[in-house]
Amino acid sequence: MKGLLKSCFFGIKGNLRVMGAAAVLLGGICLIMGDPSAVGIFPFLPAPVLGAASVACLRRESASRWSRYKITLPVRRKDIVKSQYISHGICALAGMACAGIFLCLALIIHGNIYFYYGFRDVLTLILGGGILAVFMGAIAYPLYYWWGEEKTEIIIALSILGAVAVILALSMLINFLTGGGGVTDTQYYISLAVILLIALAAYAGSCFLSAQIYEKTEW
Amino acid sequence: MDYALEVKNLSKTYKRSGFALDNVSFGVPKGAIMGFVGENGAGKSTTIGCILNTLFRDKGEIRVLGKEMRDQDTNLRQRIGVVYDGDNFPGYYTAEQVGEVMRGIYRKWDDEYFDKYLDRFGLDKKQKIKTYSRGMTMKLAIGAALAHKPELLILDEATSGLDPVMREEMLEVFLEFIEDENHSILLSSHITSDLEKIADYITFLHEGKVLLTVEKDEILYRYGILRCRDREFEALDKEDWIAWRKSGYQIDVLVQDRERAARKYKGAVIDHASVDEVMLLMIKEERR
Repeated sequence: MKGLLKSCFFGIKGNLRVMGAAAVLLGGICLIMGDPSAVGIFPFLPAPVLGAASVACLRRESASRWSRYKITLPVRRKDIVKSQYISHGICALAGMACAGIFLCLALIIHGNIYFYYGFRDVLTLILGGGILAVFMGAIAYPLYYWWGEEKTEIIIALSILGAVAVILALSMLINFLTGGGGVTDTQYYISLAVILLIALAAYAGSCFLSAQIYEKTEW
Repeated sequence: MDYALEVKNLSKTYKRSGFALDNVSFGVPKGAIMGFVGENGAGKSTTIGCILNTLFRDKGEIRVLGKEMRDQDTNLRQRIGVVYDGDNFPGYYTAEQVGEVMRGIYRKWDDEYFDKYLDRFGLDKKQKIKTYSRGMTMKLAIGAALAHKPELLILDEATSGLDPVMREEMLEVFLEFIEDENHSILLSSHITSDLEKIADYITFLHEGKVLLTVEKDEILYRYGILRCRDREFEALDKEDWIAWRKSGYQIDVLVQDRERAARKYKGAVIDHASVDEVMLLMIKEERR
């Protein structure tokens, strides 16, 4: 498993430099400008972008025979799938950490002029990107193992659209269930926890599904 | 005989193309090199895919180092090394990163051994694989396949596309590997000259069927090519030949026992057979 995780990491690493530079540049501009809309949007980005990079690395791998060669190594197919999900999860966490650092810096530089509800807004911004990335992975990997590596770009686009749609649907459902008006902090945290749990359950289910597909796939 | 690899009645059909492996059977004895030869599309890679579980067989039995190898048999796969034709590793890796990944996968991975091969092959550890020549990528793949000290090497067209000098270097490495009598190699190739140099046994595959499995020395020292005309060919006993091929006015006939044929058909021209000629005769023309 360690070797497989390293393999995933080396795949993502190539994109990291470009993405890191873009993130520092974009984040830096947002921080300097201090525009509330920009500060409210930017934290959503790092986790999904890193997640997309994790999916895209499968495309990079496919240029060689590595996808087939991996199966001949002393690892089970389901471990290959698991390693992909773990590395995607690590990407989502790293993205959330980036969002956290960005928000801390925004607060240090400009003070708390952004968050009406305080901590729960910050948590939403950090978790929001992470949940989006998790749903993206949950949608992307089964499609990848089912459709194959040639359709990676379509799969990434579908996973982004799908993840946004799922989050919107869940938010609307929760709004509907809570009556749509203002909610207490407790209700809010419970709602957030429910969405997080649904995302994690979908991710685990997706991992199981991908392993099932991959075990039946010929290379 | 003790076998490192045994394939019995292996069958697999591709529904779309209609291509089928039809009851493929052969064995790689321990301590031996089996050359697996056939034209492009004969089914060599499909057979190897079934052995390595990258493809699923319809029926048949495959025993690797004495056991059926399923997906969960990772301990068994610790004992084999695989090299495919072309890029085995992503182009964005360096040789050093290949080592790092493999160290995390193989229990017996030996960094010193791997470095030794990199030095021997003149490969730069820090250089990206995508900047390697084809020969360099193959050398790296072979180094990586050997660095965990496997007992069985499975090489699918590992020497194709390499120049003769580089192929010679590779063959030397394979011969060194086989010095240990517990080591075995299955080497699929359509470059028969390579197999003639190093293989102990040769299995001929054609259109998904095994035509012949034979000791290489038997081909070189016992088989023969009898050159004759139509009338002389008609006079030959069917039991004396394996295959024939018309070549202009001449007919080349593959005989299993050159000396016996020479005694029986006095004055006939009978040349030594090469693996290449046997393959052509077996594949291209009429068989008994």
